[in-house]
Amino acid sequence: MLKTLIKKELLDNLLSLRFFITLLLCVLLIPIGIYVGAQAYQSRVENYRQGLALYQDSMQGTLNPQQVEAKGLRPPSPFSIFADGMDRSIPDEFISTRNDGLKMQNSAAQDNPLAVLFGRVDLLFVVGVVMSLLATLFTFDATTREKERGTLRLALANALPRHLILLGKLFGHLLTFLIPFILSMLIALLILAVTGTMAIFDSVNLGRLALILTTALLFISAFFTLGIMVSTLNHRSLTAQITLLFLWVLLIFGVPRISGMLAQIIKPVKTLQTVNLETQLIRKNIEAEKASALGDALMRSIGSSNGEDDYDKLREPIVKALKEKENREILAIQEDYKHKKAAQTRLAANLSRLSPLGSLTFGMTHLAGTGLDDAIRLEQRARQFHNEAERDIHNIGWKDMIPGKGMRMTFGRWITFDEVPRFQHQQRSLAESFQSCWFDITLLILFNLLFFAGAYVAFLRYDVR
Amino acid sequence: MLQAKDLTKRYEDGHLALDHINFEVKAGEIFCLLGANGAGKTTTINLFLNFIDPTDGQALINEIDSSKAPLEAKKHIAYVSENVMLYGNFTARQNLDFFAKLGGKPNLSKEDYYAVMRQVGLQEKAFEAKLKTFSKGMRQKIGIAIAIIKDAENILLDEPTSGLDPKAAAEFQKLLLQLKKEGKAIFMSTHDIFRAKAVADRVGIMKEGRLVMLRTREQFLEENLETLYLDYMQEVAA
Repeated sequence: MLKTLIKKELLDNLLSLRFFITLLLCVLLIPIGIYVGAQAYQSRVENYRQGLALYQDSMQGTLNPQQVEAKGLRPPSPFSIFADGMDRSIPDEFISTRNDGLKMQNSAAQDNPLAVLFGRVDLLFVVGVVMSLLATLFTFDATTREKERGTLRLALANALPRHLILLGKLFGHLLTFLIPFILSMLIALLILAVTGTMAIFDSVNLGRLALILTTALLFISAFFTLGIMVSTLNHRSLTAQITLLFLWVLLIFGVPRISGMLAQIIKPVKTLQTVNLETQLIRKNIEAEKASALGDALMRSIGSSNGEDDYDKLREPIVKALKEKENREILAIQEDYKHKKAAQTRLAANLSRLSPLGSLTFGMTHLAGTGLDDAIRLEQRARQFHNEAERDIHNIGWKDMIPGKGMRMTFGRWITFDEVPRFQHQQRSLAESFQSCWFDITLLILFNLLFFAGAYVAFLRYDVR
Repeated sequence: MLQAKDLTKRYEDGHLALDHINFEVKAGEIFCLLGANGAGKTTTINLFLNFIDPTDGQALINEIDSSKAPLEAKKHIAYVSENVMLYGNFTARQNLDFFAKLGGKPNLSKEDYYAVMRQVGLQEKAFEAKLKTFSKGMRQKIGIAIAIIKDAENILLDEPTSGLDPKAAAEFQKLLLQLKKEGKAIFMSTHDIFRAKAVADRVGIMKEGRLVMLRTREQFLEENLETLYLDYMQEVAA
């Protein structure tokens, strides 16, 4: 019986105008979006390679450790083709210097500012915005139209359990929708294989892609069940359509965007600019304290038989203690900011998960290596790189400031490029990515179950008259 | 056999739509229920199909209570609605095929469908035509074909001749008598007093949820059904 119902829904949908609109949109948007993404990725890979080669060329011969700019370049994530996520907003170049500390730059955003301004038509956009809208257009009249044309009465005049009708509608609609979606994905993957952008048949890539597609399908299915639920809660197609459009706007444009603002109100955190100013102030105060302490030490060492040696003996514990104090105070401010910011981000992320789009975005970007966690991980890696550079090269032959005498550098030794730490950033393994996204996948499953349960309860009580 | 035993329906807003209705339709019998709009005819059908639950009493299909075992009861009943819309993008045969399968006839051939469509008087060229091109009369014929193909012992017809032209209505009448001959218990709610007079074995008149008159064929032919009906309608108006 279920087969008959699914077949009927399939046939009914396949013969409808909306199926052809969906087919057209899928076949146009998905392959073109992925093709453009693949071209952009290839161009960025080329830039990355050139940047790396230029950096290596500039570091030939012997180098002055205090003037070296240790540079780290981040390779673009291959799966950004499917879900751009934060790939264009997070830095792709890190420069560690003795005087200016760690500098982070983002050339991708500068290369294509319009892509940042409008966003890219990647799979995440197509699924999240276009497919969800099409899913609502497919399902708003799933039940109401049957009621309006009297076929629901006629069907239920038979020994037909109501839940079968509902399941038939869900699977029938989903299968109809999957035809253009899978067809478009196959075209897109063929383009990737032919252009050689990605080793798509590599087992790890296939696994990652399979998980990305599973997440996408769960999201689409959630909107289908939502559509069927709303249709079942209404008796007129027009009312169902308006209700669904309102919900679509709320879930796609409302909740994810408002969540960030709400989190800022609920858990306010001072700005990074304020933190930087506070850090500068601590450094300034410590410098002043150091200048005073070292000035006293200098006065005490003047007139002694081994003036400079005595000064160095007095200086070392002062500098060490004040450096520790500076590090402690700065770390406290930074850790406090980091924790509060992380809590705010977590809250915003959880609020955005009230919409299936939140889960889709987090799930797909985590799998693509372009998510929030990846940005945090990258920043941690950049700081680690900077610390390594400070430890291994920037501090060679460095001595602190002596009040009134300016900086004091003693030349240590020349170094070679081999001694400069390398920035290595590897994409997370599939297992690690899955660990980050399993919650969102589970949430999408729950959305499906919740909406279906809503539709089921409503349909059991549905007045077919 | 169809039986209404003290069948009562009071809606949540307090409106009493059916007030202790009693009747039965035996195999090989046509029972016509006449009455003004809102008298309770469609409510009676809705109760037999378990689209709503009775407040009191029972709607029995082959002695199965339709509110207690709806799925079992519905195996023994076919239904033709007033406005058969069906699936416009499907052909007549595809519509028939879908509802036949829902009615528990999964293995019928194309020829079986064609035979039923011939039986209801549909032209051959319409068999594989899309339903959206059909007139109301043609759609009604498909609705009846759906009921016939289910081959249930009982048939519920809700205003089946409304909107049909005289020729189609006459064909429908013939079909009804043929189904009766096959031993079906037929319940028809209608405004069409002339059609009722032509086919009914028994006639009931409903007024404000009550079955105010019940006559056998011999009785209503003797008393003149039109006069009886008009008298009752006037009483309603008064």
